[in-house]
Amino acid sequence: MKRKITRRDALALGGAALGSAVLAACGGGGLGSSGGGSGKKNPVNVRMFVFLGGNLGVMPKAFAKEYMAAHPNVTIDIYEDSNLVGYPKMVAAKRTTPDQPFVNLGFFNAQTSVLGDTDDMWNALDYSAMPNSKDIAPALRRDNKKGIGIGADQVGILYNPSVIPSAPTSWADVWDPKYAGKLSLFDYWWYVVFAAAKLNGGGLTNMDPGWSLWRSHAKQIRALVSSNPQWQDILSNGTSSITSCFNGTGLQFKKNGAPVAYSVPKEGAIPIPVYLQSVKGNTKDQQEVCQDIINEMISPKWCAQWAETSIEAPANVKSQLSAELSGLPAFSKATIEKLLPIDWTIPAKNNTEWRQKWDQNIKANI
Amino acid sequence: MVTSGRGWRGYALLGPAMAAMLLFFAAAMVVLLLLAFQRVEEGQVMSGLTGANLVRFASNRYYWGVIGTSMKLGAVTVVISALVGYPVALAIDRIRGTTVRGLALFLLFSPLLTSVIVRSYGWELMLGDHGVINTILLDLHILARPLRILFEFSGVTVAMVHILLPFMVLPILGVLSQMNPSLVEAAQDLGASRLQVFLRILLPLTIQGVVVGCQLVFALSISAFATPTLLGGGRVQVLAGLIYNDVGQLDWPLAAVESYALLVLALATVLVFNRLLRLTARPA
Repeated sequence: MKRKITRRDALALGGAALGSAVLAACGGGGLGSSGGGSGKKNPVNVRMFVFLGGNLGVMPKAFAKEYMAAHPNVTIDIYEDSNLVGYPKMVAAKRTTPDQPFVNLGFFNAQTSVLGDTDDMWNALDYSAMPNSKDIAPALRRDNKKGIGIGADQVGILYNPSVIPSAPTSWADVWDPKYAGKLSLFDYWWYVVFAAAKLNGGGLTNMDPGWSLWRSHAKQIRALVSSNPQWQDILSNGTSSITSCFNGTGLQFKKNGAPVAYSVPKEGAIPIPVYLQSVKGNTKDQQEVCQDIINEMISPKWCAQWAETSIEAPANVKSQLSAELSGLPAFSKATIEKLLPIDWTIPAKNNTEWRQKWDQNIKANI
Repeated sequence: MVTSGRGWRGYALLGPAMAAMLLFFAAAMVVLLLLAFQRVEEGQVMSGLTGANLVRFASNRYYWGVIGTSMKLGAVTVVISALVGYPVALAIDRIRGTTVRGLALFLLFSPLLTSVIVRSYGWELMLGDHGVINTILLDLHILARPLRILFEFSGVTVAMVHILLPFMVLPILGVLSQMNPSLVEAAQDLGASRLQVFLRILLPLTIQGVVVGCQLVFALSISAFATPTLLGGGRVQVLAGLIYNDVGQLDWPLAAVESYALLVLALATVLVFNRLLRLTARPA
């Protein structure tokens, strides 16, 4: 799949959030409204991959509880992990026991979704049998129908306003020497390399300017973190005062008491779509249930709940958001118009090479 | 002399452990060895054998740097653990009260009773820029600016010594407890100074415990993952971390090569220390 999220697509996606001025989820999407598992008598167990950390598990767990109550023959187990750690386990299971997938469905970011395309990890969904799919923003429907979007986050700059009184306004601030030794990044945060490449004449297809800049600015980095709690911790205790982070994750840190604020770089934030996928190797019953679950989760109600708890733009154009959320800088029209388009096939294809460059050019020199 | 009946009984007792090793370790290592020679193209493991992964690993300075850091971490941890652990073992050996001795041993082994993650976060609180150590030093005006200990080699070393100290102390304590105390008393009665007693009596008689302790601490240090990852902040890259990253990146053949590199290093170390053990063995 070669589809990119264009500014127009993203604007349409953000429009859903912008149009939502009222708190409370809209109606509809009652569980059991579509076919799928609701009419099945056979007991069906599925395991759902859910992002680990912050409030990312809140909506999936609430959904699973409600879905199981409405479908007594279905049990949903939750597997919480990051895609980075959990996806290799899925690949291992596919190679060893292809008819017993590690998880049956779940939440996957854009890069993992494209990796899964390459690994033939996903089942195609029958959009025509999923009534809620028609309300999903075109940017988050997949051409190959292998999954469907539930929301989109974005990557920008997170900083500590008590240490940095004037908000960073450009990606270049991340590598500005005045913040030397105060920058933290998640390990393998290629987004800042992309931003550096973009600002220096390159881009996704030519990352060399980015690698070159970060090789010479590696000392800028105080620490590379390996988990969200660790990230929040060093931003809270003053060890790091600036980072590049997901808007949703950053605002969850803030809700937890971290002294941070999110800033949208003037060159544009990086959009990060989140998809729901059903995994190959499911039994017929499991596949039917997975498709039904996915259809229910992309309903206006659950999509809005996902957006509220993960602080993302909802994929369903009928989802209504709280005024608090729709008033955030990340969801403003200006921000959405400036989102940097990403062809996710490129990071997925270059994953191994970029990771090695990250380790050898940046990590080895910090 | 061991009779044949006793010999068979010995093999029978070893049987379950040998079977477990063959099933779960040797078999896994064979699979890993095969994986090390498989091709990778665009992140996909392909059929067909190749030596490219080995060349990729051996010809890259970066990987040698990571091996160097792993070895340095092992060596520094061993030296500090030995320097700290020996007096601790001597002190515990001299405690006569059962309760106090039990308490001392409990304190020594307490790091092993908590999760490595919890311990590491504890060290973050201690070693951070605004952590306990820096706050005290800044408040006392000993420092003008915070010492950078966290996310540095020094911070990782401190935490590694804390965790691995029991593995150094226990073998030394074992040897000390078997030593005849009258040897020290006799030396002192004959006018030997404390240094002479230590150098000519204690150290030669306990050196085997020290070597075993070093062997354990070194092997555990070079294969450590959680502590260097959590407290190194990406700055302290070790082989175990490299393996973890490459498994995550689905570059399993390279991870297999790195695993074998770690195994070879560990085996080489064991051989060196075994040789040292033989050299230091007292004649019967």
